[in-house]
Amino acid sequence: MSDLLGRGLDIGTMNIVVAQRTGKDKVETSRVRDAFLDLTEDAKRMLKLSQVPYIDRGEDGIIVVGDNALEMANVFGREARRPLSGGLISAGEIDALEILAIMIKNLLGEPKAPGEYCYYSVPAAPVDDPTRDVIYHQGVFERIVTECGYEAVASNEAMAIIYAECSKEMFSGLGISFGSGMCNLALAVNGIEGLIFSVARGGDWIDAGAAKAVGSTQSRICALKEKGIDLLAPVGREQEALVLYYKSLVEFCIDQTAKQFAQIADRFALPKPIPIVISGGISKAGNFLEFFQATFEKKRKKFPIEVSEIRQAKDPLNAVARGLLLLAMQEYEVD
Amino acid sequence: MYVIEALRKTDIPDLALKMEEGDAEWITEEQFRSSLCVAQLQRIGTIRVSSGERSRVTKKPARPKAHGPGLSRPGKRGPAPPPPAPAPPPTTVVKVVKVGIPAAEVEGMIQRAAAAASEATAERILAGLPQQQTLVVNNAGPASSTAPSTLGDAPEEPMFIPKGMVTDEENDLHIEAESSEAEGLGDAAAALKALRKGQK
Repeated sequence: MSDLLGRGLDIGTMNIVVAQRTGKDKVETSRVRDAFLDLTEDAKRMLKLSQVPYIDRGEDGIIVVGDNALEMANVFGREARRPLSGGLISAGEIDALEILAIMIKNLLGEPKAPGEYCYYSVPAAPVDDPTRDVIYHQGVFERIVTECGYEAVASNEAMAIIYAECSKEMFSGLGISFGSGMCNLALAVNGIEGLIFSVARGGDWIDAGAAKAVGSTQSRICALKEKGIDLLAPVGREQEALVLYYKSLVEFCIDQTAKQFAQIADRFALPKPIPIVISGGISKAGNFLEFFQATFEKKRKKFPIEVSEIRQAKDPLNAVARGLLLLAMQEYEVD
Repeated sequence: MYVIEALRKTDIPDLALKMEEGDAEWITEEQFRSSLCVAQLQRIGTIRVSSGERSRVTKKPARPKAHGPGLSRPGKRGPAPPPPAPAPPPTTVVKVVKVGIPAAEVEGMIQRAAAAASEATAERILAGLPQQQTLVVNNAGPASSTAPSTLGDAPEEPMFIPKGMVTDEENDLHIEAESSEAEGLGDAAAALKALRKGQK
């Protein structure tokens, strides 16, 4: 029984993912889109006919959650609401906590045993926006997970990538999670954290920048991006604008890593070259790995860390949840 | 009184005075006014008469010396003089006069009076504030204060994270689930276990 205990919960701006084991060699990942839409009671009939699940809040109307919220937003000509913004709980979204609690409860389900360990992801504080911290964010999710009946343990998002993807290097590497709200980075040697930080730029920043550049809307650019874009062969001015912002983001992450590493270089030794593992939703863009490698090669000479290889996570959307699951499993390992 | 100074050797017969050069004699105002010889000798410059009182004409104040550098080129203006130093702030000097009260007691009286004045000012200010702000001020004192507090004890955790976010209500959400092989998960778990064991 203890073989199957432990959960990994990745709380992202775009998706919330839970990883758990369903058998000795089976891992199940469940995902829900981190979005919702409030509608009036009049929409009930249509939703029933379309077989779209919704939450009835009585006089306060109804709420559609997840991927359905995005679909319904297009039908009703509305913009879907997001409980997270820029990687952290959205301060201006009054329904955020209620929706997040519903999503997480449905994803986690009942614990297999009372107080089952659930490791949940927390971003690092962004280095380029000192006004934001993760204390409140971490506190809220600790309470939600605890109220679901689990023993909640917070863990860094980028470190989870190293746990999930760098076992053959004995958990040494530079993990980068290219998320929608922010990018998280972690450097570790033998599982020991050397550097963890984030930048307050991500997929939303790319969409907003490209939209402004070409006079379009952020949602249109986002749809275009998710439809598929080849970063090495952009077509049209919108895609070219997107590529420029992708490049700017990658360069910013590399530069920030060099800058942050310079501060710890005298007390954190790297005995041998380490891999860079890239993950996250926006790393699923066409040829992102090659695009990252090409950008990195231009900066390799001045990069203070010796890099053995650059590779993409096997499952970029679920890598963080899997890494967290691995940590949760350790709680049940018997010496 | 007047003083007669002889500038040369002379006699003043109506006052019966014989004076050598440089001699000085004191006479009364009455003698000075009645003596014709004194008036005549003073007019021709043989004697000098002056009042014994100090002059009442005030002296002109000394002109301050210019502290600027010397001018190498006379006729040209030098650099502007430095601005005058700001006047020192007015100070209140408390002078303790010994009238039978010890200095220590006087000092204590001053301190008590100052404390009473500040309390009265604080009460006047608090009286003008809304009730909620008053509570904050009353609770802003040190933790060891024994003054009764109108606010309850602070909670152990911040109050802004609400409790009961997760309800028993069943909601049907569209959750996308996929199952996959736990590729390498067992090996990774074993490696992590070994690593942690080695680090202990």
